[in-house]
Amino acid sequence: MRSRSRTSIILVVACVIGLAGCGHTDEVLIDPAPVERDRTDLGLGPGVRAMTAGPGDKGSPSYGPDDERLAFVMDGYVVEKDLSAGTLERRTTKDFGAGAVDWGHYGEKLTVTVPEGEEETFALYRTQSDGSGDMGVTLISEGVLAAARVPGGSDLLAAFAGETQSTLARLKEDGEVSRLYTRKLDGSATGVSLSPNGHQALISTREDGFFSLYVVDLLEDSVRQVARTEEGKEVLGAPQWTREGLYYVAGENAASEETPVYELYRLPADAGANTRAEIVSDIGEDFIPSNIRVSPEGNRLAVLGRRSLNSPANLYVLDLESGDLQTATSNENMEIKTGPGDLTWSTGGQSVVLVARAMSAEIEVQATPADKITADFYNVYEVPVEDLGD
Amino acid sequence: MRDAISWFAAAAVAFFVTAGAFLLLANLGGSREEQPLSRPRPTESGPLLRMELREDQLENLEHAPDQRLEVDLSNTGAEPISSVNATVKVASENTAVPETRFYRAVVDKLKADETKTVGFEVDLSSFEYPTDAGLDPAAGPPRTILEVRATTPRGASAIKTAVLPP
Repeated sequence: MRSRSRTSIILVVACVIGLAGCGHTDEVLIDPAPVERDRTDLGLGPGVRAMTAGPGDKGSPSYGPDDERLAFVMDGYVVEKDLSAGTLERRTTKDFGAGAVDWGHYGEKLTVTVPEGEEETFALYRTQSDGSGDMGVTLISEGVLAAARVPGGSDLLAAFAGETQSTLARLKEDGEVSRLYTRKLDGSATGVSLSPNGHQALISTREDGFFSLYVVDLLEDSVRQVARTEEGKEVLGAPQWTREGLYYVAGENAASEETPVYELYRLPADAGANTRAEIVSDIGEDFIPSNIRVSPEGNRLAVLGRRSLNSPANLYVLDLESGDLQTATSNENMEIKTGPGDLTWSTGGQSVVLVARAMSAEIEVQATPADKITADFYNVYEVPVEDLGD
Repeated sequence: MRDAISWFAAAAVAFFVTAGAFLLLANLGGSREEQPLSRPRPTESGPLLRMELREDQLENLEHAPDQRLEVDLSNTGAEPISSVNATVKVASENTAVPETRFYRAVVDKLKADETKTVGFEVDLSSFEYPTDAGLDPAAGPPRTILEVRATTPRGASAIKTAVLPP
C-alpha cells in the first residue's frame, strides 16, 4: 500500500513537471510571404519586358554583340545599360545632341549620329572604348545622309550629300575612306540596307518629290535603279535587304494626306528597272505598316503597324519564307515610336526591341518614384518573338 | 506483476523528469524580450502615414512661378507621429536638363487619426534645355514631373508622383 501511494505521488509530480513547459502562451507570428504582382503585362501584352524605366525621351535602342548590353539615346545623349547588373552609364555629355546610336561590330565602340543643324545630314562620331567612363568622342565623318554597318566588320557604308546627288563611301572605324564609289545616286539618300554578304547595298533616295530605290554592287561599283514611287508617295524609313528579297514601306506622303496610308512592298533581289514591286498580301489587305526591320538571319521581318485604320499599332513578325504573320504584342493604349532606328532585333534574333509610352491626357497621381515609372515615359521594351506560334 | 508496474512507473517518472528539466532550463535561459520570428514592424510604417495629392488641384496648376501646391498628410495609426518631413521635387521630363527644384516643409506633430495640409509655393515655369538637337519632335515638348515625398523620424514614408502636361 505504501509502495503504491509512493508510485502515485511520483507519477503526479512527474506529470506536473512535464506539463510545466507546455504552457507558453506568447504567439510567434510569421508574416505571410508578400504576393508578387503580375508585372508581365506592361500594356503591350504578356511577356513583354521593360528594359528601362523613368523619365527621358528614349530611342534608337541597339544591342551589344553579346546581347548583354543595350545602348540607346535619351534626350540627346547616349546611355549604355548593362542588362545583367542593371546599371546605366552615360557615354556622351548631356548636351551632345545625339540622334541615333549603333553598336560597333566588336562591341566596344558606339557609332553616334548627330544631326547637323537644319540640314538633313548628320555627323558620325565614335565613343571611346576603354570603359573608363570618358565622355570623349571622335568625329569620324560629316555631311552624311544615311549609313549602315557592313556585315561582319566595323566598317560603315555611308552616303554623302552632294549638290543633287549622293556619293557612297566605305569608311573604316576611324573614319578613313577605304573606298570611294564612283557611281553617284540621283537625289538625297534616305536609307541604306546591306545584303547579308555585304557585297550589295539597297539605298532609297529622294529627289523632287519622288523616291527611288537603287541596288549598288559594291564589288563592281555599279548601280541599278529598281523602283521609283509615284508623285506624292514616299518611302518610309530604310528599305530592308532580306534573304527573300527587298522590302520597303511606301505610301501617300504624310504632308499630302491627313491619315497617311502605307503598303509593304517586295522586290526580288535581282530586280531591274522594269521589275514591278508587289504589295505583300501576307500581312492582310487593310494592314498599314509604319516600320520594318529585318532579323539578323535575314528570314524574318519585324513589322510595326495596324491591322486596319482604327486598330492600335502592334508589332508583328512576318516569316518571309512561309508568309506567316505572327502577332507579337497586344497593345491597347501605348504609343509605339515609328522612327527607323526605334525598332531593332536582339543579336540572336530571339526578341525585338521597341520604344513606347502610354497615351493619356489625364493627370494621374502614382504612389511610385518617378524613376520607377515606365508607362508614362518613352521606355524601351523587349518583346520575345521566338515562340509566337505556340 | 508488481515488479513490472514498478519498472513501468519508474521509467515514466524518469522520462517526465528529464523532459521537464529540459523545458524548465529552456524557459529560464530564454530572454524576457523574445524576438518574434515575424519581420520587425516599425511603429510608423506603411498605411500609418498617408499622403494625398489631389488630382483636381494639379489640373489647375500653371507653368509659372509661385504655384500653390497642397499636400494632405494623415496619421492613420494609433500612435502620434512626432514630425513629418515633406519635400517636393520639380523636374523636367527631359533628363538632360540640369536644373531640379526642391522644396521642403516640416509638420511638427500629427496625432492619431489626424490630417494636416502642408502647402508649398512651387516654381513650375518652363525649364531651359541644353540642346534641341537630337530631340524627337514627335514626342512633343517635355512635361513637368512633381514628386512629393514624406518621411517620419522613425522611418515611415509615403511618395506620390504626378506628370503635368506641357
